[in-house]
Order: sequence, then C-alpha cells, then structure tokens
Amino acid sequence: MAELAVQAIGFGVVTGALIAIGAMGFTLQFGLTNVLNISYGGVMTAGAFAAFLAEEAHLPTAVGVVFAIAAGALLTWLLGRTLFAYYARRGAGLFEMVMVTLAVSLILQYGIDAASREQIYRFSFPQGASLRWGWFTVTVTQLALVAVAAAVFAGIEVLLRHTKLGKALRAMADQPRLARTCGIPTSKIVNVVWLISGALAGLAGLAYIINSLTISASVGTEFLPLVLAAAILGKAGSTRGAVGAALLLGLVTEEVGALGGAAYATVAGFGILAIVLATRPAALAGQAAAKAEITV
Amino acid sequence: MSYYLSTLAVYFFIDLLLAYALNLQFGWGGIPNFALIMFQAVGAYAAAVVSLGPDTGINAFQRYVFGASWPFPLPLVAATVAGGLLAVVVGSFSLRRIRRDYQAAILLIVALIATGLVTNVVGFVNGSNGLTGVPRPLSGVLSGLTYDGYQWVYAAWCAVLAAGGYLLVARLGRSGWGRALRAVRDNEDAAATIGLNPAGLRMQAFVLGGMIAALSGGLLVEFLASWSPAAWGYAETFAVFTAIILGGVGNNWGVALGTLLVQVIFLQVPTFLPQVGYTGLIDALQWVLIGVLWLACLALRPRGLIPERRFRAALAAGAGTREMPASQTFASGDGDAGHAAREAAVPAARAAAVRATPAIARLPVVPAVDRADSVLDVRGVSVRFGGVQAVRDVSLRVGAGEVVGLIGPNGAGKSSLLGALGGQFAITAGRVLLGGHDVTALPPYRRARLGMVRTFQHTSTFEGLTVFENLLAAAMSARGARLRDSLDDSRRQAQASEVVWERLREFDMVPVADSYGSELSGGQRRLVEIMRCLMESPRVLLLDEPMVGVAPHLVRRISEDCARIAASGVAIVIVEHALEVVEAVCDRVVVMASGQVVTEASYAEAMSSGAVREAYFA
Repeated sequence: MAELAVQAIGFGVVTGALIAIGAMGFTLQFGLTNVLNISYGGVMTAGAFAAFLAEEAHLPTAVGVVFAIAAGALLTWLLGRTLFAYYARRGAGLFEMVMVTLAVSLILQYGIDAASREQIYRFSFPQGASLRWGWFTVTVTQLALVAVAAAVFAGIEVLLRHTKLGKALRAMADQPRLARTCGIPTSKIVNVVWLISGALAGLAGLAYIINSLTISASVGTEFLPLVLAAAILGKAGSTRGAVGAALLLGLVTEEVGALGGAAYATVAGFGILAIVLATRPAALAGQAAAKAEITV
Repeated sequence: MSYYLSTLAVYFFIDLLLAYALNLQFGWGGIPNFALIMFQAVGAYAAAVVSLGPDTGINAFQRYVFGASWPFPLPLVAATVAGGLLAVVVGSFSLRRIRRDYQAAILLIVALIATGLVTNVVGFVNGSNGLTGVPRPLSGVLSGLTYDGYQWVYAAWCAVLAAGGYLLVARLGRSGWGRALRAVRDNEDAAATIGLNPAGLRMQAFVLGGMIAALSGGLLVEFLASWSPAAWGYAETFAVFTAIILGGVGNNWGVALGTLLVQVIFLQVPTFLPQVGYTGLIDALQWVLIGVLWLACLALRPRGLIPERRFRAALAAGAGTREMPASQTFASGDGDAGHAAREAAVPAARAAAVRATPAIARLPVVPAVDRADSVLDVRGVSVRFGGVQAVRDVSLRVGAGEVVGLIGPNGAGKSSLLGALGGQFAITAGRVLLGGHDVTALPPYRRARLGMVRTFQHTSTFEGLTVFENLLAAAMSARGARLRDSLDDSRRQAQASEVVWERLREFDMVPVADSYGSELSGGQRRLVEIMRCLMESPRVLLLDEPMVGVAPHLVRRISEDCARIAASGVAIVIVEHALEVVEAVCDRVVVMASGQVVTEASYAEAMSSGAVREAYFA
C-alpha cells in the first residue's frame, strides 16, 4: 500500500507536468484576451495528430515535435485573428465568446473524428530506460516531460518578469485600454500570445499521447477538463497558479487512482474543483467583480 | 415509412421537452447549462433501473443498482425526481456568483466528469455498455396494437407531455416569477436591490429545468429500451443550444421551430439516408455542421428566427387598460409609434400625471415622532478590499424625510460606503441599523425587502424587460415573485399593474411604458431606475451619482422628484458630484476623504468652512 502511494507521487508529478503545459498556455491566453477558449482542446488534438502524421510518414521524432508545436501555434493564431476577432468586433460578450470557441471546438473535434475514421491508433514514441529510485519508477521520457514542463514554466517566468514584451503583456492583461493609449503595440502582443498559447496547446497534445501511447479524436475532450480545471483553480492569467493547481490535480488523481481504483481518479480531481468553488467562492467572485474586457 | 414518421414524431416531442427545459434555464434564467444532457441522462438511467427487474448477480449480462420492476408511470416520476435532486446538488456549487463564462466551463466539466464516472464504474449502471432491455410501458395493456400502432400511441403520449411542458413553461414565463427570473438574468445586482433573491430564483429555475430534462430522458429510454454513455455525449447539449438559438431564445414558438429544424430535420432525417463512407462519417460531419450552423446563427441572427416577444403592457394590463388615458394608444415604444406621435402623447400624459399627483401620498407617511429618530443608523462602518481600506470607521444617521448628500473627491469611499449600506460589499467592522433592525449581515435582497433600496452609478435597467416590466418586477418583487403562486397570479399582476400605471403617470413616463431601456435617453433610464426603487415603498433610498449623463432639463426634474419623494417620508442618501444638485436637494452634506468623514454640516456651512476645499485638495 505504502509502495503504491509513493509510486503514485512520481506518476502524479508526471501527470501534473502534462496538465501544467496545457494549463500554462491556456491561462496565459485567457488572462490576456479574456476569451475562455474551449477550442483549446481541439487544438491539442490537432497538435497530437500533426505529430502522429509525421510519425506515420517515418519522419524523425524531432520533426514530429516541431509539427505538433507549429500546428498548434498556427491554428490558434489563425482562429484568434480571424474568427474570434470577428465576433469580438461585433460586440460578443464573455459568454458569447465561449459559445463561439465551443462551436469551433465541435468543428475541430468532429472534423478530426471524420478524417481519422473514428479509430484509435497506436502512437509509438521512444520511452527510454526505466529508472528506479527507491519505490519510484519512471521512464526517461517521463522525466523529460517533467523537464519540458519546468523549462516552459521558467521560460514564461523570464518572459513575463524580465523582458520588455513581458512587461507590456502584464500591463495589457491588467488594463487593456490604458495599455493601448500608452503606445503599447497591443495587436502585436495579442499575436504573440495566440502563438505561444497555441504552441503550448500543440505541445500538450503531443505530451499527452507520448504518455498514453494511443491517439484518437477525443484526446482534447479527455484532456481539456483537467487543463481548464487547473487554469480556473490557479486563477486566470496566473502561470504560477496554473502550475501549482496542475501539480495538485496530478497528485490527487494519481493517488486516488492507485489507492481507490482508476475509475475514481479524474472524479477526485474534479472533486477538488467543486470543493474550492463551494468553500472559496470569494476567490472567483473577485474575478467576477473585475470588469473583464475581450481583447483579441 | 409510417415507422420512420412515428419515430421522428417521438424524437421531436422529447427533444422539445428538453429544449423547453433549457429555455427556462438559459433563455429566462441566463444559466449557461452546458451540462444539460447530463440531466436527460440521469432521468433515463433512473427510469431504466426502476423499471428493470432486480439485478440477478455478477453473471447477468448487465449490472446495475436498484432494479424494481415499477409499473408505468412510476419510472417517469422517478426520472423527474432524480433530475431535480441532481440539479440541487450541481446547482449548489455551480450557480454561485461567478462570471458566466466560468459558470459555463464548470458545468461543461461537470458533464464530462459524469460521463467518465458512469463509463468507468461498471457496477452502477453497467458502464460503457449501458443498460438494455428496458420494458416498454403498458405493452401488456396495449398488446392488441401492431408495432406501428404502438409507435403512434407513444408519439401521442410524448405529444401530450410536450404540450404540458409548453403550457407550464408558457405560464411560468408570463408570471411574476418568470419576470423576476429575467430581471435576475439581465442584472443580478439591480434585481437584488428591488428585493429579488437571485440565488433562490436561479436555483428554482435550475431544478425545474433539471426535472423537465430528466422527464424527457425517462420518455426516451422507455422508447429506445436502452441507454448508454454514447447516447449522451457532451455535444448533444450543444444541439439543443443550437436549436433554441436558431429558433429564438426566450420564445416558446421559436424554440419549437428550432427543435424541428435542428433536432429532427438536421440530425435525425440523415440517419435514414443510405450509408455514405464508413459507419459514423455522417454522424461526425453532422456535428461539424452543427458547429458551423451555430457560428452562423451567432453572426447573422443572434436573437433567433422568432425573437423573444416584447411585452405589451396596454394589452396585458387587463382591468387596468380601461382607465388608461388617451395617450396610452401611443405608448408603444416601437419605432413605428413615431416621434410625432410620442410628442403628441406627452401633454396628455402630463395632464394625467397632474390628476394622479396625490398618488405620492400613498407612500407611507411617517409619524412625526419617527421623523426625529434616524431610520438609517450607520455605526463605525469600515470596508476593506484586500490591502485597501476604502471606508474607515464611518458613522452616519439619517432621519425619515431627510436628504443627505455624500460628497468628496474621487476615491473618497463614497460609492464603497453606499455599497456597504446596500449590501454589495462586505462590511469588515461596524454595524448598519435600518429602522432599529441590524442589517449588517443581511444580503442585498433582504435589505431591500426591509426598505433599503439603491441605484447604481452604471445604468442598471433590465435590458430584456420593457419600462413597464422593469417597474412591474419591482412592484411584485417580495411576495408576487414566488414560484408557488406563479401558476395563478393574474389577479396579483393586474393589481400590481395598476400601481405601475399610477407611478408612470406620476412621473410622466406613460409614453415609454413599452420601450426597452436601450431605447431611452440616459436621463429617462435614471428616472426608470429611481421609479423602480419606489415601487415597494422604501424607507431609505440610496442614489449613486443619479445625474451622470442626464440632460439638464431632466436634472431639474429628477431633483424635484427627489424632494417630493423625501417629503413623503423617505430618507435619501445621494452621492453626487454636481454641487448645484447637492445644494438644491440636500438638507445636509457629509464630506468624505480617504474613506473617512471629514465634516457633516448644511451645504452652506460645509462650503464656507473650507472642509470641502481641504478634502478635495488635500
């Protein structure tokens, strides 16, 4: 029992890292644009399939990784700049934008579903050696995923806190109108955010199938709830919060999965969300009070 | 062919019930229920497990809980109850005061978890394979019928229930309860300040909708005889959303049209088409098209093919109409009424107002003894937002019939103090007494019911309600908006309507009775907001910058109205930057700076003492 619990900590960190990659991209974009982008799940699926196609074409693994990231970034940027911008110009409110992104999500998911003939495919990715350290067992690839998540986190931290672009980005997330009148090139910054967020969506989709070794059109719908939950728990726009919440969700789901049965793993993760919502509504009410404005 | 048609008819009526459930929750309640399909599912499972026989053990081909062989119509009752219970549980944490986009995301997550849970826990309702062999209701009694005949009987039964659903929802929509629900949808804060309980109303709509959705699930499973997670994918919810958005949110006929177009013609008819490509291709492409259709609706006709109908007060007022002045014929605020017609209507309305002036005397006249006492007693109130102390130890007493002006520079804490009094902001220290009652811990709607009402700095008319309905919602807020009275409240509505007409005449607003807030000028909106506050005979009226964006001639009118309202015994606290207004209206001014009261004196004294100058230039 104790061994299972300790092992689950290791898996929890890996799962947490997967969720964190997606949640960081989601929350960065959500914090800046105020679009609660449900189509993010569809973009994750698209990124995963880009890598899968590269693998099917016998291209090197590195090319597959690049494909996934590029597909995610391009798709998100296009959607943000064309479709979302169109509806925002027509005065869509916060909820209307959710509906727009949801429609896009349906189109992406079922489009991929139709193209992939509704099949589940095997995805092969080198897993590397199994490492043992006490009761912990992880593969080299899983360690690499954790390292990638940590690197993404560090990269975003440096970008936000130590570059001029990051400063402009934080200013915009806080006060979009003021930022615009201060001469911050808001349009350029929105571009950058769509690209980063999309790249992370593609990467997250890839990371998800590297870990599960299967791929189907429902990758996004399976993965998005966890990513969304982490972003909401961690407070919109906060990458640190998203990473913390992702780790918490990862650990809880894996522990419950190991000790109580796989069926209850995800449910327990969402249990946390429900508990937080029920007991700390002030955390969300504060966000509700702030006047949020769509910026795309 | 007859088989196809009867099947389509059954689907149509069941989908219609589900669409009415969503229209109640989303169209009127504004709840973005992205978990709708979960409620249909719980009804289906509930009906299935109570009508199936007992689970015979691990070797049976399917495993489930309960198993009771209940006869018709008990499974449908079980379904409805299950839907209501689930709605209470889900609503208790998802209906809180959070941004609507968050709420939508949380409900979506809940629906996805539910699918995951039911799929993975096999012993509950047989996991991903689902339940099958659910007995068809009354098949013994109706054994004389052919298979085809049974189908048509079942379609008729579904039609009866759908018609019942329509009658219920239509009645609710016209009731005081339905209007209150729409008021909450349009502006939760403003709804609370006229005494409506936003959380309670939303919960009632959510539970009622959940029950209707679950009933539709029960009907569906008794028809299909089987039910599994594949039948309630999250995308199904969005088909219902597409249907009501295409047809017209908030309009019952629009909802029916949308359901026919989307659920039947678009989603069901193609399943009878010959196979194209691999199995499931058409299915997947249909959902892609649903997404496209949804985007097109939002872009081209966001209010739907048959939009929510405008409430015509003159027609609906019933008894009240007979006594209407001639101007009433011009009262519709539509473009077609025309500017000239409206101009012509004004003198007549004004004449009516003169006749009706004594109406103000109906506001309770406070006895002289009470006037000496303070009706509003603020004792050492502080408000803190995070690290900012917005209001610091403020004490203030206002007597009945007194008008107190709250002035001070931006950031002095005037609006925060008003929020603390109205209940929008939590008080960190101190107490607020209203006529001797301690209201410090009460939510805004309870304070409103005790007689403390307010207006907001920003426009807060209910956008989806006409001027008349704005006032009617307030007139019926405390007792008239109860769900249990909603099925028979026409007499109550007629009574309240008379009061509304009186108030409209008194304020010269009869010509715009049927206009939406967006069709009025800034000043007229302010007036509507103030009138709305007066509908329930308040004791304390809190006005937050009532003159912002108001045309000069209306500023004078609103000032006069304030004096008149105060004369009837209402205590008024007014935050205002226009000092000439403060001078004209207020008996006393309270000067605030940095969250504290600097001085409290008559307007002339305050101006000459230099306290104001100090406060503004400190």
